[in-house]
Amino acid sequence: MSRAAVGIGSNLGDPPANVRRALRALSRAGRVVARSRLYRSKPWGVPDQPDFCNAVAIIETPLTPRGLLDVLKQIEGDLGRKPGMRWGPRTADLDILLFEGERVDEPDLRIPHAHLYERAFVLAPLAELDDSFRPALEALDASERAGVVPLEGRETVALMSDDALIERVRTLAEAFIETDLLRLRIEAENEDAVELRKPHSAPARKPTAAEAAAMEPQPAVKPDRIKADLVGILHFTRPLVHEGDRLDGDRELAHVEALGIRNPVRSLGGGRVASVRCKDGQAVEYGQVLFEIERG
Amino acid sequence: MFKKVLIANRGEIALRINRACRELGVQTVAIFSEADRDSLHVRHALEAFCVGPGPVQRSYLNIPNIISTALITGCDAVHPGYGFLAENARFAEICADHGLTFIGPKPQVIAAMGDKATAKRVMKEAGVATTPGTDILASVDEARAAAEQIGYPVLLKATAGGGGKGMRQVNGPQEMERAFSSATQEAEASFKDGRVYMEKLIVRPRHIEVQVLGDNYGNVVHLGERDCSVQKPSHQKLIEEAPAPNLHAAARESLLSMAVRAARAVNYSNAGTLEFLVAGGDVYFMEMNTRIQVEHPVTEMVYNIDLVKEQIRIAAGERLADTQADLRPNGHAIECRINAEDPRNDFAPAAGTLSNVVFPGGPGIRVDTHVYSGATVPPFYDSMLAKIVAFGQTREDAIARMERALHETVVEGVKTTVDQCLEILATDAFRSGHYAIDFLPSLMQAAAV
Repeated sequence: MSRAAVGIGSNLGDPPANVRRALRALSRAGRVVARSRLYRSKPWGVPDQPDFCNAVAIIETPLTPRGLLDVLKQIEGDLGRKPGMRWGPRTADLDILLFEGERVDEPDLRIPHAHLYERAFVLAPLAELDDSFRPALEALDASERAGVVPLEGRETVALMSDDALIERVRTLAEAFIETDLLRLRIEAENEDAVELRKPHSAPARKPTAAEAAAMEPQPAVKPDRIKADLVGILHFTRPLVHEGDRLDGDRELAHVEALGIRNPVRSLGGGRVASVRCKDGQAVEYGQVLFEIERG
Repeated sequence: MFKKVLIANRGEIALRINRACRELGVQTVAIFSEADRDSLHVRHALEAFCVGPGPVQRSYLNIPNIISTALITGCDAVHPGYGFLAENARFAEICADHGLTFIGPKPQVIAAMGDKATAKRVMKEAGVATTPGTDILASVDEARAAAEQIGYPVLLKATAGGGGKGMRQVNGPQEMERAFSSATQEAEASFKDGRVYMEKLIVRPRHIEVQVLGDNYGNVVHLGERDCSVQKPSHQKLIEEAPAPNLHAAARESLLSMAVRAARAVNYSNAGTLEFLVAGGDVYFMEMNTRIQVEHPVTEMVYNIDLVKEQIRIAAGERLADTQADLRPNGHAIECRINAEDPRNDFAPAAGTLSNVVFPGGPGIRVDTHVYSGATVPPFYDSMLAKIVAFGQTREDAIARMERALHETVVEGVKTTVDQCLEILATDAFRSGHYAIDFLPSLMQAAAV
């Protein structure tokens, strides 16, 4: 069994539905072990096309890269992609992005995928599944990143291709914010319902200017959070650091002992120790904030 | 008995295990991913540790963090539930290496039953009927001769397997030559391994499975059968019932005794399930699942037993409390799986927030679920939200009760299988109990036309 990352994109008909159908069809090629949320992106290469919906899935497959490509082509065929323009509109487009232990460089198949590190619509969903892609995503041009929006929550707004309807929902949403209503449900014929909600604790009206000024956060540098990346017992490293200490550069602050192995926790640069959020000998979990450091 | 058990799972089964432990006076530790921070299994356990981010590889399959959690919290056992690490022999071994009791069978048994070829060979040796088939076929002539013996229709399958690649149905000798060469070529192209073997194609089988329990002292009992023939086109089960309707007494007897014989043959301890294909009077072993199953509650209802508690007691070294003669089934139970998916759209799984959730209650209804109003359904995991189980003295009572319960059920915010289950319960095929694994796919096809 090998692991492979498959990218899926669609901009014809009902793109989110096409992507979901393609995700489901992927079980023909192996076991889908993880999949990203759906992303909306502006078409790339050829303008004047509807927006794309994109996602990435990780599968475990017994197939070779070539065998997997065949299955992906079959799925594209079943979903009704018409052979034609290279970057034209399509029901769904499935690409092998990565394939464990394989590099291929042939005219019709390149692994890793030729545009892997250049496209936010590939990197954003990949980064969701694997943190190691985050730096590549962040290195992308801001304008490229801005074109990619995750379709959050119920995702139904994205299902409406009709711009006029979207405009109407936007107007209603703005009006909704002005009211004391907590929940607004909009149902249109032949469309999924749209539901707008406010958190119960949130103020239902716009705050007055004075209130807004009072709520304005004090300008402050947000400290860096140093987190545990595994589960174990935390031990401070000597010399101990205390709140307010200045660190000249990168140093080991503590270590997490797990399965008899000592895993260092480093400051990742200098700064002022804003807070020590852990105790010596304490059990820590994944993602737990241990130290906060103000840089500079 | 154990002092503290780590529950290496999420969702409803993590809650189920937590309940069994608490009733036995055993402390519990939950693990969770960052996506499950607000899940009910985290709230119910006495302690809970985040072991990684949403994707399963880095959280619920993160063996180092899971073992580390068990050790730093002073657990003496690990319950794997189903899915994730439940049938991972290596994980069972690692638990043992760290002095943790894995609540399940021995690692060697998990490994043997996890390998289809080995499992089939072991079962054959124990006198359990398996799907007739061959080893690797060297030539078309050999394939033809084998098919004559087995009887058409047959399936040619790639030994490297997967994705339906290199698989061909052959209905008669005249089709063999073409099918053999195309299967071989396709397998070669897909897996760089062109070897194929043959299996009898069982036409319109029922999926019937037998629950067994074994202790560490060689005692094995069965807890009857479950019919799981209502399956989606992807072979995922949707509705299960116990006992299997319209099962001939002789077929039931052979199924149950075969299951016990098979479990004895591998010296099975803990809870396990043997899956069979049943066609007419013929019974064929398919595979053994070396874990608790999703549909275990239907067996619990008709045998009035707590299978998860039994698992924990057995792993703690207790003997089976009941002999086969003590175990008498009573009544009928049906389970419907409520999944966050759209049956009108090929069961597309849906993630989102559940805006409003009301589960049914009243006599004879059991609901196992981890969701609540306001809960989010993360995109990383299985789409099952709840299992609704209805018990009745007769099958008719159980169906009526299930229909009533499904009508009480409210799940808003995502599409679910509730209506689809109601539709199935209303069909003549289901009501009469005459249905096989082609039932749901053909019902869906009829609806789509």
